[in-house]
Amino acid sequence: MNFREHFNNSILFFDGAMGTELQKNGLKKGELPENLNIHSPEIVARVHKSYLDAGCNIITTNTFGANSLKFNNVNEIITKAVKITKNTIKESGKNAFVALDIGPLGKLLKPYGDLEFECAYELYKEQVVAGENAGADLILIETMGDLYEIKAAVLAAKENTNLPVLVSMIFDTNGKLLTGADIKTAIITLEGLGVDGIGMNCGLGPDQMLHLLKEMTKYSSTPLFVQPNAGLPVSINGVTTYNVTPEEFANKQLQILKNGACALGGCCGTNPDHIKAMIDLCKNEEIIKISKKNITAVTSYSKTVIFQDKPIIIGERINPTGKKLLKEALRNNDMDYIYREGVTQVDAGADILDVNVGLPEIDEPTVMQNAVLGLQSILSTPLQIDTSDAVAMGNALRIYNGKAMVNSVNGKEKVMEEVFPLVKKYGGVLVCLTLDENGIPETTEGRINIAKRIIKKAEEYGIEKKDLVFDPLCMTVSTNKDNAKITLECIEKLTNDLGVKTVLGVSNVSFGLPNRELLNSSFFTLAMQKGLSAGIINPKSDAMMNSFYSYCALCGLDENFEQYIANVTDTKTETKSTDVDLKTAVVKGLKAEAHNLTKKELKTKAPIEIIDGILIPALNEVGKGFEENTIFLPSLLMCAETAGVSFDIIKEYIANSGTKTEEKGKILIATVEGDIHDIGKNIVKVLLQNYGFSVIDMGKDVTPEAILEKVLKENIKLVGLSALMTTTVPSMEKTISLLKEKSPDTAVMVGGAVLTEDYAKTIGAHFYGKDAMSSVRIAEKFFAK
Amino acid sequence: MLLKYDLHETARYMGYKHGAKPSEAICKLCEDAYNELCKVITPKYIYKEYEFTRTNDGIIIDGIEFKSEKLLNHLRNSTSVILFGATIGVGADTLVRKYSVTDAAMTSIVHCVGASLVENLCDQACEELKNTIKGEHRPRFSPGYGGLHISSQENFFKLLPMTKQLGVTLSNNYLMTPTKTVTAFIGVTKD
Repeated sequence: MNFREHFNNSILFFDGAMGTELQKNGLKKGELPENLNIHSPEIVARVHKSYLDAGCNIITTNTFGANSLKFNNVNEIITKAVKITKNTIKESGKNAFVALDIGPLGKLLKPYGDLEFECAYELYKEQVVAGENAGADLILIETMGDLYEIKAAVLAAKENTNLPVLVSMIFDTNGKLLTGADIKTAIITLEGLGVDGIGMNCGLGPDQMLHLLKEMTKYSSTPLFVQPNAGLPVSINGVTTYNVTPEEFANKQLQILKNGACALGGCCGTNPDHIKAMIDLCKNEEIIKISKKNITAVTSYSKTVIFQDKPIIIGERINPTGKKLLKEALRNNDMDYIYREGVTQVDAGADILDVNVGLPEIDEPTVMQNAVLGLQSILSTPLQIDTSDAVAMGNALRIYNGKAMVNSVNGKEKVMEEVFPLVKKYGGVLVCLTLDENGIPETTEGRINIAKRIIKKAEEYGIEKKDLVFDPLCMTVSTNKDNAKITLECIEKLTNDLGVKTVLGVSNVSFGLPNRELLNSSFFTLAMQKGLSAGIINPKSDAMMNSFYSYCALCGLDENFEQYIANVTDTKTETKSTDVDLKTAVVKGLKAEAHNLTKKELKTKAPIEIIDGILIPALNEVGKGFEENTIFLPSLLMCAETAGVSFDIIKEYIANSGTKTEEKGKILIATVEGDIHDIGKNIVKVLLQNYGFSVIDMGKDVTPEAILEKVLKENIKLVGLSALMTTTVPSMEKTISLLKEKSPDTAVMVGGAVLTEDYAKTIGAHFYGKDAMSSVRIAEKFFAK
Repeated sequence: MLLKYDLHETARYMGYKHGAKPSEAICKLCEDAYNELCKVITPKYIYKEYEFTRTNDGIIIDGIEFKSEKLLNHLRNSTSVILFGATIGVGADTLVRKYSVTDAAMTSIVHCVGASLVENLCDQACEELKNTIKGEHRPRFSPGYGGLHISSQENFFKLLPMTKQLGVTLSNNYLMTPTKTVTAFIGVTKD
């Protein structure tokens, strides 16, 4: 029997609860159910048999938690569990599929928790390989609450086995996963990964699931299955019970079937009686086949952006082309600079962020992966992976948490052969440039023909048209007066004749001409009018965003003119005058004023005069207040960051004028291995930076070896280590002794909630910082020597 | 459940000493942080009441031992114990991470307002518990305090489905994620 042939052709029935049934049949309290496969297989077989007798045709193995975090004999447990299931089916003389049951690992993946994505992948790989070798017919990944963990499990299953993969999720009553994804986001992401079936189980009863199923059928083209609990749990005398009777359960499951599920089963609180009643009532029903949806959408771990009538803003700023400071940040591995570019663009209205880190002298695959990991840990905005390096693209798509936008493919055979398999495997909406081996055709027809070729070739790889978005490219009008016209015609034809979505990097159009923003924003309006689905623009440009808000307001795409009004008010409030001087602005933490005043000061003063005469005295005044308990942490930080605004302007000024600044000293900081608290460390970083020190931040949970390696490579003389928990101080001690041994010239200052002066001495630290300000004082003294 | 934050407590978390009050500007930022947090938090709590037995230096619940004389003393008049867990979810952590690259002052403010919110969640939940579980309730006693080693979290998680129902997991060093999470023992004295 082939599962894929049966699934979605005839109604299939899963079994019900396993744990409680095992308990009824002899599993002892506190005992791990998976161990029964080894020492009491007859108990497991009894439960399987009861469900076979009820009429089930998918039997799930007793392997929910059988992973190497909990067991050291995963292969044995799974092999035996599959054998028990197969034998019980054989002995019953019935036809049923064996579903290898896989549950969550019980650990959260980074950035929420401490489990690495690839580590989760390896744990799942071990399970699915064992399951396939033992003869399972399909893989059932169930009770999943985190999309990222699902991705690790699905990739493990698809890359290492040929079995069909079903994924079942646990939603709360609001239809959300634990890490925040709603149904739409979950469905779109899972379809991108190419799973065979999508379902929900546990957490809710059939009533709530029926409600959620209706939402699922709006977005899914993939067959759906539903395994509810027997109602919501109620506690009676401290015992959890479920109140839905077998008859009620059966009736509700019939409704679920009629609303679009093609396979049914049960979870907590259901027993063979529930399942039998359900099967008896539903077995002669026809299934309603799920219809094909034509939705172009990208997702993050919690958010979906659908390409509809309203144009989408793709922020273009994370791209080093023509950006001195970003180039410098990339070379120095200053990822925070990139993250800030991300946050400010989202605040300015970006729906999706383009991420391009291509510089010849950096390791693009690694930097791209880090940029994607970092951005998705702070923002829920979907990302557009922008690279021509297939390795970087593959790396980024692998660890991307959601269905990404991918920039780009074009009509060149070689490029299509590289990019299509990646998008097929990981999912994605692909930007297709209408150029090929012969360059960019000068005519509309030429570009449309390339688009048609790309669509056809994508189809061969199993990539649907809805997942392709076309960029007809725009050349500057300064070289050919018709260039803009051709591009606009292309957008119209792509939209109306080919029925595809479009995207455009708008700002090329004005290259070589003055007042570019005016041309760009006007061209953007024209393109939107022709049907442009998404613009890759600078959302921090008022001119571009004003075009966008005006267009939406005029075309009925802005309900109650909310966005338009909000946008217009924004620009008006900008021009307020101030009567403070720069020092006061820094002391009081007034960033906007400090920004303007620094620019003003630079007209008459040398950078060093501003730094030594205004900024440092301001910082010292507030620092002193902090030490004397008249000023407290938030005000100290506001002051430091405002000084940072001034420093950045001065830095940019110096970079443009080509002179070099003197560095005060280089400090490496990190939160030690095992510790994931980094707020304190980040505060120290902000202060040190704004007092003019150059800071290398290695982040949190950093091993002693990694710190040593960086210290030696960068010739670091002062290291700052932070630990918050008593349990992680030993790794701080280990780091210090390793540094003392291998880099004796390097001094270490330590800080963190559990440390004291004495404790710091005991573990061998050179300095103890009782708070953020004292780290500045230590650094000042240290480098003054 | 509508959560509130306590400005006085928040200021204390932020390091304000000797009753010093935050400036108007900082109060405004606390309000902003609160409003932003309200959009991303997902407050939830669970509990389970257990019988327990006493040892010389701790208690045993369902065969699992928790060693702490202070806990034993804390529950000296209790007839049963509620295991309680509450979290405001992963959204607060993401917001803190976001601010950690853009705005250090807001990072610490969001962090502290978040801590005040989870305390408020616990307070409200514990009030509700008094209606469901009759008797006199003792204050919350959390693993990691009062000589009850933080590693006892592992056993605590065996008795209360923190991961499945709240999405809270433990790191190798017994730290909880989401970080704005509380676990506690609450003693109950029945007449």
